[in-house]
Amino acid sequence: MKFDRRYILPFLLIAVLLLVALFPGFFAPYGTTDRDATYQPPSSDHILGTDNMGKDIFSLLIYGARWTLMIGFASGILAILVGTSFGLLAGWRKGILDEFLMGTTDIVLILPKIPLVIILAAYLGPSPWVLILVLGLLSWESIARVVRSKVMQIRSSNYILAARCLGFSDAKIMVREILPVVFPVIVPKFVLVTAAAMISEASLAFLGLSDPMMVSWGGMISDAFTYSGFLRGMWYWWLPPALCIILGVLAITSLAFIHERGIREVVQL
Amino acid sequence: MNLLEVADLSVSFPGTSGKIPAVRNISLSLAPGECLAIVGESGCGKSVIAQAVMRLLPNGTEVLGNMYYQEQDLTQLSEREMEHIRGEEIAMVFQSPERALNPVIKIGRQLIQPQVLHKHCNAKDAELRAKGVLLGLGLDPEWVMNAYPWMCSGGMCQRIVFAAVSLLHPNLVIADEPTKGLDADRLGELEAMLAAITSGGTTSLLLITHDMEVAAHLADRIVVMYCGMIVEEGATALLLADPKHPYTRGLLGSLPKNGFVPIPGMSPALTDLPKGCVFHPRCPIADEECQNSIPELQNGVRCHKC
Amino acid sequence: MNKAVSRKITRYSICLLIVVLLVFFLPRCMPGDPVQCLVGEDVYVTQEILDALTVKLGLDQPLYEQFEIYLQDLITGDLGYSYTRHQNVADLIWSRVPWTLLLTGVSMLIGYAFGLLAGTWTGWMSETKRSKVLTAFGVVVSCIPPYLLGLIFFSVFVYQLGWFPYKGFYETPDIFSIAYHMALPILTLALFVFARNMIIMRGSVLTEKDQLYPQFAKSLGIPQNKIIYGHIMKNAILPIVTHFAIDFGFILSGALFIEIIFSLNGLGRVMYTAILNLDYPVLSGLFLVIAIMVICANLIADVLYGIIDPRVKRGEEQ
Repeated sequence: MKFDRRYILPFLLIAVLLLVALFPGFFAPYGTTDRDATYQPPSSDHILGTDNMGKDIFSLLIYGARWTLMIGFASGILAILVGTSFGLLAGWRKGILDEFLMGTTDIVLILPKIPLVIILAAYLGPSPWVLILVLGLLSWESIARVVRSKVMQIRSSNYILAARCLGFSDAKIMVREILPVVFPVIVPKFVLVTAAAMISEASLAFLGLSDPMMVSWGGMISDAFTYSGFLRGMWYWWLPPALCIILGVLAITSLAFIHERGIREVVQL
Repeated sequence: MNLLEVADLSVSFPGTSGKIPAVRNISLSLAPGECLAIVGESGCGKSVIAQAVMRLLPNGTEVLGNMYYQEQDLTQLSEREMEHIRGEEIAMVFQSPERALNPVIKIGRQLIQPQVLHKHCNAKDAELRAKGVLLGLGLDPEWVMNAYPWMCSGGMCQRIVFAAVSLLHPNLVIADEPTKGLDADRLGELEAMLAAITSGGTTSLLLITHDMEVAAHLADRIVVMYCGMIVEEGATALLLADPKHPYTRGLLGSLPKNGFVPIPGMSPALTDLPKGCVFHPRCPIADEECQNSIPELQNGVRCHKC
Repeated sequence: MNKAVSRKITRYSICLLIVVLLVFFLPRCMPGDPVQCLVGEDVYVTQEILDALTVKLGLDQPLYEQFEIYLQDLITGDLGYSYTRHQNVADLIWSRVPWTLLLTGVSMLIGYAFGLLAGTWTGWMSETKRSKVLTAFGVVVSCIPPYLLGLIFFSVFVYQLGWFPYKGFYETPDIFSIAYHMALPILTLALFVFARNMIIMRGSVLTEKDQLYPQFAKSLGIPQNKIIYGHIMKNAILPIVTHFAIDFGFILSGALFIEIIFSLNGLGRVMYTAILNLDYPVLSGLFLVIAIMVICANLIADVLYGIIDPRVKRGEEQ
C-alpha cells in the first residue's frame, strides 16, 4: 500500500473513532445514565446540550460510537467468514456445488434487505445478535462472488498445479496459497459491507428497531425525531450523530478506494 | 509534392519522474502511392509516430515539430478540422481487429456511419457500397451487415476493418503492427490486402511493423528505428542487400532464414538512455566517439563508423 | 426453453417461495400463542374473535393444511386484517402503493437520467478538475443514508426556510399541490439515486474509454460526441442495467424512510405505525408486497439486459 497523502485523513478519522469507541469513559464528561435538566441548549456544562431525558448529548455521542462501530464490524466479519468460505468452496470445487452456491447467492441478492431486516427485527425483537446476524448474512453474497472469481482465476495457474502435484491437501493449498491472493480483494469488500451495516443499523434505530438499551447514533436521531427535537429546532441533538454517521461511513468507504481499479471491480459485481 | 512530410518530430510523455522521450527528431516523407515501412523492436516509438500523425495521442503528451499532410500542418489544426482529416484523408488499421469493432453495435451500422458522417453519401447508398466492398473481400454481405463483431472470426474481423477503412477512400493508410500475433494463413491474406492498397498508385501506405519480412515484401522504402530515433533509411532493395548501420545488420541477422542470430544485450528503458549514440552498448564496432556524441543522420545512416 | 431462461425462472420462483414461506412461518415459530402473533401485540380482542380467527386460519389444524389456507388467502388477495387500524390489510396497502410508486418512479427517472449523463461526462473527462469535484460530491452523497439526507433537507428547507410544506401529499387533489408537496421528497430520493448511478456509470465509462473500439472510431473521424453517446454509452450502460435490479430494492427502502420523514401517507408511514404498534398482519403483508415488487423489478431488469446486450442472445442461438 502506497503511503498516499489522501489516506491520512480517513485513517485519522477511523483512529479517532476507534479510540472513542474503545475508551468512551475517557472522553465523555458524563455517563449515559446521568441526568440533568431536560432540553438544555449547548452551554459550558453541556457542550451539546441535553436531550428529552436530561442526558448530556455529547456523552451520548461518544458512547454511541461503540455500538455503531461494533455492529458494523461484527456484521462485516460475519459476512467475510461466510462469504469467503462459500467463495473458496465454489471456486475450488466447481461442479454442482458451485452451481448451487451461485444459485443461492443470486437468490439472496434479489431479496430486499432492509424490509427483511425490519420484519425480522420486528418479530424477533431488537436484540443486537439479531441485527448482526441478519446484516451479516445478507451481505455475504457479494464477497462470495468476488472470492470465487479470484479463486477460479488462479486455480489453473502453475504454482497451484505444482502444489497439487506435490500432494498437498486441498485445505492446505487453500490456506497457504489461495488465501493470501484473495485477501486484497476481500479487504475493500469488508470495508463496504461494514459501512453498509452501519447505515442499516442507523436506519433501523431510526425506526425504533435497534436495542433501546444501547446508545447508538441512529437511536439519538430517532429520539430527536420522536421527542420533538426537530420541532424545537435542536439541531445540536440530531446533527452531530448524523455527521458522525456520515463521516464514519465516508472514512471507511474511502479506505476501500485504495485501489481505484479494485473498487471498480468491486462495484461492478 | 509529398503526401506526408514529418519534420523534426519529437514526442514525450509525462512520467512520474520527468518526461519520457518516446520519439526524438524524426523526419520522414511519403510520396503518393508509395509504401514506407517503419521497422524496429517493440518500444522503439514507431507506433507513437503513427498515433502522432493521426493526433490520437492522449492529452498531456508533448508533441514538438511539424507534420505536413498535403502542405497542411497537422499540428496546427483544430480538433474539428482533424475530424475531417481522420478517416477521410488519413485512416488507420489497428492490430487486434476483433477489438477495434464495437461489440454491441451491428457491423452494418459501423460500416455505414463513417461514410454518412463524412458526407460521402446517404445511408441507403452507404449500405450498398458497404455490401459491395464486403463481397469483394470474400464475405457474405447480408449476413455480415446484420451480425455483431463477436460472431465473426478474427480473419473476418480483419477484413471488416479493412472494409471500413477502404470505404472512405483515404489517401494515406497507416497500418500499426497489423501482423502481430498472426499465424501463417492470416498473414498471407493480410499482406495481400495491404499490397492492394498501394496497387492503385494513388493511395500511400505507412506500414509500422517489427517484422522485417513483411516490410521486405510490401515496402518501397524502409526506415529503421531504435529507441525513438531513426538509425537508417533507404530503398528496400538497397537496404536489405547492403545494410550499413550495425543495428540494421543485427536485425537482418536475427531473422530465421539468416541464422536467427540475436543482437546481444537488451534495448534500454526510455527513462535511462545511454549517452552518445544510443546503440553503442550493444554495438560491435563502437568506440569512444560513439560513447560521447550522438551521430547525425547522414546519407541515410546515423552512425559515426559508417 | 434453453438453460439460461429456465435457470432464471427457477431463481425467481425460489425467491418468491422463500418470501411466502418466511411470512408464513415467522408468526408460527415465535414463542407464545400464534394467534396473538397473527393478530398483533398491544391489541385486545375478545376470546370469541380469537377463537373464530383460530378456526379461520386453521391454527388448530396440521401445518400443511394451514399452509393451504394461507396460500388460498394469498391468491384471493386476502392479506389479513389489522385490528389496530380496523382495516383490511390488503385494502390498506393497495390504497397506499400508488403514492409510494409515484415517489419512487419519478425519483428514479430523474436520478437515472441525470446520473447517467453526469457519469458519462465525469468518466470521459476524468482528468479535469470539474469532473473530480463532481465525483467527490457524488461519493459523499452516496455515503449518506437517504433518510439522513431527508432529515437534513427537511430541517433546512421546511423548518428553517419554510419553503416547502410540512406534511401530506397534497392539500387539494390537483397536480400543482401534489407537485409542491412532493417536490422535496422527490428531490431527496432523486439525489440519492443520482449519486449512486453517477459513480457506477463513471467507472463503466472509464473502463470503456481504454478499449480499442473508441480509438478506432476516432481514427475514422467520428466526432467526439458521437463516440461518447453513441458507442461508449451503449457499452457502459450495461452494468447499470444489472445494478438496477439490486438498486430498486435500496431505492424502494429509501422511499419508505423518506415518506416517514416528510409525513407522506404512503407505505412508509404505514410501516412506521405498524412497527410502533407491532401490528404483525400489516408488517407481514407489507413485506410480501414489497418483496414481490422487488422481484418483479429484478425480472424486468433481467429481460431488459437480454434485449440490450446482443451477446446474451448468443446463448439462445447456440
